[in-house]
Amino acid sequence: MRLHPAVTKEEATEWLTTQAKASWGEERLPELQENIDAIAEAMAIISAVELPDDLEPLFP
Amino acid sequence: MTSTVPAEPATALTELTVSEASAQIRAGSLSCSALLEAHLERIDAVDGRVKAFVYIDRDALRKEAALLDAEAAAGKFRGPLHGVTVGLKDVFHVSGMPTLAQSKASDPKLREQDSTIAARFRAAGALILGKLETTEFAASLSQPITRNPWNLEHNPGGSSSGSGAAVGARMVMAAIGTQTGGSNNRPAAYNGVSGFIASYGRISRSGLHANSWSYDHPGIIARSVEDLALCFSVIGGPDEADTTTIPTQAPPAELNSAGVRAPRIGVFREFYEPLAEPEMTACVDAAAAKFVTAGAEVHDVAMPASFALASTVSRLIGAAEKSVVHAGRMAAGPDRFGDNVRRSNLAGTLVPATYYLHAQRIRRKVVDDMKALFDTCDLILLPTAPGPAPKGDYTGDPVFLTPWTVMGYPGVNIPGGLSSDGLPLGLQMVAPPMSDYELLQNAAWCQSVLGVLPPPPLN
Repeated sequence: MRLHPAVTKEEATEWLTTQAKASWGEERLPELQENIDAIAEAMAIISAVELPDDLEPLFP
Repeated sequence: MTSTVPAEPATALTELTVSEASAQIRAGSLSCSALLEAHLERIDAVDGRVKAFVYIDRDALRKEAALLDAEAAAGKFRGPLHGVTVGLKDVFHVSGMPTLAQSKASDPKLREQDSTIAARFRAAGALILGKLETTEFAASLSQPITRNPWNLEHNPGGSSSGSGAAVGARMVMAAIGTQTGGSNNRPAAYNGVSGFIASYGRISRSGLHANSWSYDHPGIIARSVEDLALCFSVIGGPDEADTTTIPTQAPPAELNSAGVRAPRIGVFREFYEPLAEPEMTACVDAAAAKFVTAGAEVHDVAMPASFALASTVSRLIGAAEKSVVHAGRMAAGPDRFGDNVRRSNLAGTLVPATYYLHAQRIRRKVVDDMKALFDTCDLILLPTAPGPAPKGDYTGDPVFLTPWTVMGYPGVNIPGGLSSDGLPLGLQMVAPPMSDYELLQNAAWCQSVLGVLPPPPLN
């Protein structure tokens, strides 16, 4: 899944749903929908955040 | 809103603070056995309703208390907590006790060696009363068994539900919880006691059932800020068994608050006011007014734009880390998990590595941006939760705590008063990383201004 240009929540949901189906089977999709929505929303928000190239991840 | 009351010397043994009991044991005016029996009686009287304890071995405790008394009689004291009662959330290993983490995936027959915190408590002479309830694997997604001693219809908060309720109900003098979002200081707030999360890396996680590695903070719950500092001085500091610990010794137990000048307090109103209940906002305002009268400098501070990203970052990083933490247990049987935790574990595996890393970069930016806030204040003041403990199974909203946990900042909860329903309202104080001792000093100053709450009306 691309990081930039920013993804929309709908794009992220579609991608996550495809991955979920492949990983856990179609029968799990209904129970995962709420979690997929939450992760998709978070992906859309953070992919829109631009950072300086030299900013390293924080691993406490 | 009902105000707190000035602190007065305790009379019943279960009303003693850690500092008071420790001093009496050292002076020979209190035995470890008498203190233990008082707490066992209290547990017998109220825990059938509160349900804070998972495991307790009375015979072993009585033997240990007798040994501690014999040592004290010979003038030998193991450390500053000799004979003091403590409890640990049931996600920490304590030798001789099971670690169930409120999960069907745990083996009740398994006994592990002491976690670093348990070992340090023992070395300091503390009497580990037992294990305290948690939600499933310390995830606030599940419902706690424990009830709130201030009103049994209400939630004690979670995930450290047993730790908060046991200290609040005077069943134990201090307890260890954990915080991955808001799981230690929210139960402290809801149960009317004090709570502390140290800067990430200042208290070892060795022997803790992980929830989300880069967020998991062991926390302390006790009745006073002085007791938090005393426990921190015992359990904090570097640990070879946890490579994320910072190579700086824990600060001293004594806060020496008498010489501390009134702090500069930044009120984080822009963040909390749209989300807090009116009664909670009034509680912060009333406390701020008392701090000003007592000599503090109080002013509002603005919220950096990046702060709003902290909770989103937490959601993404937490989902990914939790799914990996539980990957082995999930493979062995996903249906041994509760519905919400199982769904979270399955969905968390879908977070792309690129997004996990980008979220960790944003996390660094939020940490860096927040440091400037402390140019004009020593601590930031805001509510610990949007209101008092909710009714029913919901452990409450961690919205005011999660951002600081993400950043690894130290935070304290002190009681701010009671709601119109007679439930505790908690005030949160936050400071920059590694200023734990100064934060505790300032929080003790604030607590001396506000006083403490009386015991809950369980009797």
